[in-house]
Amino acid sequence: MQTKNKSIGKRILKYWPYYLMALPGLLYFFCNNYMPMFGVLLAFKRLDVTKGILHSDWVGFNNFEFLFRNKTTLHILRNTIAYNLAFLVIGMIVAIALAILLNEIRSKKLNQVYQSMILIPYVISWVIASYLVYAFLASDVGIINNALFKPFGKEPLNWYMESKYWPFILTFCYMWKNIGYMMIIHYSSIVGISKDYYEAAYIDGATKWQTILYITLPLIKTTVITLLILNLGRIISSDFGLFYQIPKNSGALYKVTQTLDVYVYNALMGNSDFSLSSAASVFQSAVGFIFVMVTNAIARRYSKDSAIF
Amino acid sequence: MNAKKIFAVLLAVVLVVSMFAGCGKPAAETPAEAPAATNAPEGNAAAETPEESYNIVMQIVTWGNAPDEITDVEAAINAIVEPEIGVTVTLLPIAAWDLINESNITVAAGEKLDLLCVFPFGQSMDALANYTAKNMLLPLNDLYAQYGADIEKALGMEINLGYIGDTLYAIPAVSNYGLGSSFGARKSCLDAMGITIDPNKYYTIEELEVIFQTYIDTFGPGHYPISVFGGGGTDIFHHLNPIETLGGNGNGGVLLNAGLNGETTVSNLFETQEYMDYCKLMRSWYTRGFLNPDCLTIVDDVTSQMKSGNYLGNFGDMVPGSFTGMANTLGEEIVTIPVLPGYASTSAASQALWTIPTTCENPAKVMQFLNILYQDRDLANDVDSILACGVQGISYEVVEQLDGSKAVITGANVTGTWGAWVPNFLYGNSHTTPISAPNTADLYAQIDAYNQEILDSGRITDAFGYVFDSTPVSAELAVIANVVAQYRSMVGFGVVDPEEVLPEFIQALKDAGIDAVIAENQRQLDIWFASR
Repeated sequence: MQTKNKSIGKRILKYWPYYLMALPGLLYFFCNNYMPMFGVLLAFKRLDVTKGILHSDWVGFNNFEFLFRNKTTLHILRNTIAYNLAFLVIGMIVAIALAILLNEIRSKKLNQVYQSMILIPYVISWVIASYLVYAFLASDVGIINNALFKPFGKEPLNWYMESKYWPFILTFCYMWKNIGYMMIIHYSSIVGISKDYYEAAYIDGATKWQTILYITLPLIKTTVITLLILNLGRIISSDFGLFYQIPKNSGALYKVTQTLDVYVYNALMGNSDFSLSSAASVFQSAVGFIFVMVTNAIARRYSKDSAIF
Repeated sequence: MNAKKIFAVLLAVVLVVSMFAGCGKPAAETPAEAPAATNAPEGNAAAETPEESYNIVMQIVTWGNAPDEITDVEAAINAIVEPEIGVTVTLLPIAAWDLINESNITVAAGEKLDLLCVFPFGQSMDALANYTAKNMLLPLNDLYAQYGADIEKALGMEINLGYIGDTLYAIPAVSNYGLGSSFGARKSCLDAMGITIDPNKYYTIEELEVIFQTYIDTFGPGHYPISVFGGGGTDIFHHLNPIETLGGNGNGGVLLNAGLNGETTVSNLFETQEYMDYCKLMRSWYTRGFLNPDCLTIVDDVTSQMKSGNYLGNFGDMVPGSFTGMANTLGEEIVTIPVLPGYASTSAASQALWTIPTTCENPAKVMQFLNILYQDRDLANDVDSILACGVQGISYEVVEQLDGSKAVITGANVTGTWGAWVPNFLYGNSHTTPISAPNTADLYAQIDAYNQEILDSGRITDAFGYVFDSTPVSAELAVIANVVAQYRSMVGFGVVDPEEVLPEFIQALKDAGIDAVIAENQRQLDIWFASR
């Protein structure tokens, strides 16, 4: 034990400028990510401001009750997890495909044009996006009903009342907005691959498809798995803007659009009950933590380089 | 190696320094720091006077923006109250829709706040229970008995609105006892349809349907007679049926017919035959095209919808001057079609409730200050008039002097923005403050007559002033709130067939534990009645 301590002390002495460089980041993490964890206590207490958080009464798991006493809880958890998995899988495939395609474009100018075009939706807020969607789907003035359904003699559809279409609409919206950002991460790791590999492959007579399959994909595997683990940590959290704004919080769609964040918002919006909302976020964090640990353990077993820790 | 090391150290130093520079700047600009900054000079000024004045930090509800002349208003109030009771005020402007969160965070964080405004706005937007559940409010019984003589005189039985059980937690602003309901319609449309409205008669559902149908026949497709705010789990049941929501939003139980016929049984609104009938009516209105098929997803407020010109009007409260605001915004005359005669209800009468947080250091001074707000004084010394309308010459100009403290005011030729951003009915006795221009000089006389009419007609429930303390069932209510958000607007605006969906709605409420909530509400109401 002592020798280990000594070696850490020695290490710090030897590399102290680097530790100094890390200090701002560590301080930030401490202030922003660790100090608020004190609030976890709140999830198990009934807040009484005259006593303060520390001295408020313990209530055990009572605050978590509202998350699970609802019959729709199953729907909500299913929605949250299923959408996240779908976004993860579809997003990853489409983003990697786009990144590879983009990498094959030789004209620098065109490459930049395509990149920007794919990225622009990422900077559009969900509120604005919700109005864009509304312009298409509104039942009396919407483009789809007026330009497609009516001219072809089809009955106009009240889109915001028909839950069966919304899994597709939401997935489409999510891809439309986020695919550019996901693509950029993969693109940057593809660009980092040395050109020597490809040249060697061409000389050996490899086809384009083979270079993608045997050079590009294996070399970006580490990035892909890292992203996968990070995303699985948020499996029970959801993009509130997407699930609240895009369906316009229409009650008829709750069965397929309500995720845990939207549920907490609807349930607690009126009374700002800190204890109940803490309970919800503790639950999300706990599930996320378990997912990260498990996937990381699997990744480590499969290939040590891919694991985060 | 050495040069590299030096470079690394330099880089690290730059990083550390830039981090602190980054930290310092936004912190100085955050709004939380702003009141502290304005406190400082006043604290100094107070220190110079021989006896140190107590500084009261008071919330000012705004419609979004802080008014420009806030320091002028503070100075004007301090000039009156500092010599009198030795307090100064610091006004803390907060947007109405941020109020619940801001207040909760401010008190929970132990920041200085002496007057906290609970703002139900006559629509149960907020409730005392949201604060008492966390022990955030001081009981005021003793202070009220000691310092509240003028409050008692101005409020009468409206003081009941501030009680939970036997404990007084809040001093309500003087408001109407209640309201009726009416349909505000564009005069231009009614003229085009050749319909004249009799303002002294209450229109039945059938008569309203004739008007709505005529509107559709006259103006054709794309025009809808009724504009509604469809989002957020609401409906217009309360505009067609008297109802007492017992100080809550109705999810936790209501008295049907507003308890006017002596009803003392708390019922689950959504399970009643009345609600089923209402939903069927709305279903027929929806299918007849009285409502926009997109009404659930249009999130613009009713006034913005009316601006588009595609609607005849909307259901609203009926008190004198209730459609003046919309008429001003639209720049066109709105005709009030009476639907329900006025009746008193706890929810409608609860506009603004002034409370003292447990973190307050000198509650006695704060109560003395509150008492001053309810005194009827001449305009120059009337603190609640200053809070409601700002400072004369900056916020408004007097165009017509009336007897006593009442003056007709106008927004013309003034530099201030108080009138634009600060609602004027939240402070003390709002029925003695200056009247803004489009309203006529007899506004308060009309309102007083209206209140008197309600009291004389006996259209007041025995439960007036009872407020449900939802603390014991807060987990159930959180789940219920979500169920209501899912179903209420759908069935309540007739977008779906109530025969099919309402039973599903009721079952979901039962699963969420509504029966326990209703039982708890009934238990509290019985105790409340027994103690009267």
